[in-house]
Amino acid sequence: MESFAYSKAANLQQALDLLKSTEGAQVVAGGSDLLSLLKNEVLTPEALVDIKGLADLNYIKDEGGVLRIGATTTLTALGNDAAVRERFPIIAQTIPLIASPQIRNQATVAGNLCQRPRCWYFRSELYDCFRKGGPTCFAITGRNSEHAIFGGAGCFIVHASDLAPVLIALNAEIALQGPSGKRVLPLEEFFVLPRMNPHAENLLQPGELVVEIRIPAPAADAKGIFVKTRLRGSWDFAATSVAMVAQVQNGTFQDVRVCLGAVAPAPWRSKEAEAALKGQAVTADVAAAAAKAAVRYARPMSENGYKIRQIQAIIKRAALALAK
Amino acid sequence: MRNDGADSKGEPGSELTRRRFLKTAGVGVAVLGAIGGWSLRSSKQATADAAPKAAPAKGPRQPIQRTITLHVNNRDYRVIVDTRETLAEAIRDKVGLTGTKVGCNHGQCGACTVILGGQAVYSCSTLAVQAEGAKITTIEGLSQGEKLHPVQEAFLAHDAFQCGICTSGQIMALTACLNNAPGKVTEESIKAGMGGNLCRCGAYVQIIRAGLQAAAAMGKS
Repeated sequence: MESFAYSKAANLQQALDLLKSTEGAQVVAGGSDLLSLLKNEVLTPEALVDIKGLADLNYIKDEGGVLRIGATTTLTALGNDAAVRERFPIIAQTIPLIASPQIRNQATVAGNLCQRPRCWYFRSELYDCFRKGGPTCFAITGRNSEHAIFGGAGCFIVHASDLAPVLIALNAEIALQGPSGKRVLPLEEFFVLPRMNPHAENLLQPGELVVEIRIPAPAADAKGIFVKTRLRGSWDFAATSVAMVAQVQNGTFQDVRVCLGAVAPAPWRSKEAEAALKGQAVTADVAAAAAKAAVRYARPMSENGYKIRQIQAIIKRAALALAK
Repeated sequence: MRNDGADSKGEPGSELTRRRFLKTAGVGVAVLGAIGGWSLRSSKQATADAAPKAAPAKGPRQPIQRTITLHVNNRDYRVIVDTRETLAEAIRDKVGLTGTKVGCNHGQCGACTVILGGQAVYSCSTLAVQAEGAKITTIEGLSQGEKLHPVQEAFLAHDAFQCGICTSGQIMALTACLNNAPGKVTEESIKAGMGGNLCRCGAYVQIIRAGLQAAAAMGKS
């Protein structure tokens, strides 16, 4: 690990000032992802600015309509919150499927959304891969069983967050604050594909912080489900995942949002699956057609064709569960 | 003792200080060897051009140390840590409590589990400097004198370990799991709470039995 200076911010403004004034500074909160990246020297920041436990970023505010989640809220706190459990059961259902109890106790909501890829070439100090500024993506001709079937170009990572597809299916927004002020954008637009920027997974600018997630009030008849496949049962990153939020009336999907995880370099909204489900009384045939539509443009690599079958299976499972 | 040009004597272009000469001599020799016929003046220009590459602006980074107070097992320990030190390293090497083990050192195996602020965390994935001020409990802090904690008693009663390297982490994870259980503890809730701890010897069945016994002893069943 390369040496770094460390400072603990006392409040949000101080954190922003420290990030602005310190060259080569990196934010740290829970640290569960960052420490591994530092140990492998994938990242070598000259300074860390600690925002863990900042009171002005650690909150869940239920305002009846919009639910506001502070950036450094831990995953455990999010899953245990009474308002979240009552109003957004899909989030409470997802939290136990993310990482392990210890990691959920440390890891923050913003950290989960901004986590770096799990690609073994990206994580290894031995490979100067395309994402890290090197000449090529080693997964193209190498081992790619955990890589992208959608949206890869030059780099074929998948976005590993389980929370991101769920929040996108819930139509959440993300608030960022930096030297040039505050901006709010749909969470879906926060993430970028390699063809936009192969070196970052999102639009976060230097000196900018995620400060809040905002989830709009769901429709009264909305239901949601998150389904994840993984190699290990106890805890693991997703092999594939799907988050589906639908307004269902007598088995008919009036409106639906489908977001896939771990299949593309960004959480992958499936407009194709949504179109196949919307306005339909969802039967096994309709669910299968939606699943098939979802993978119409999938481009598997040499070792990850199984993801096409798995993602179809869980899209069907999710749709049929919501139709009940 | 920088002397790059400011007080160099002689004609312009000859400001080759001892330091820069030593840094670039190798490059100069290589250039001379390659293009033997060039004049001395040409070779000097070549060394001057090569200098920035041969001498990077920043040297290796110096370690940065901090004096912090760690509150471990109801005692304050004033320790000097490198900013890079993990909480696991500081507990073992600086506080001197070696019951906390480091397995994978990447937050995947659970051997380093300690209770921080009432919750189980991976001490290998927490920086020591970040843990200042928090209440930390390690395996050494569970028993009261000779009286073992109910979770420790249950591990003994059920032989819930074999080689022992994961055991302190398992015991800390189970203790936090039982302490924080909102209601009745079941086999399922123990499995969910203990999912972050690996045991390569495969003592999982006994660990679950130990969990159920400890839950009963702690009035959580």
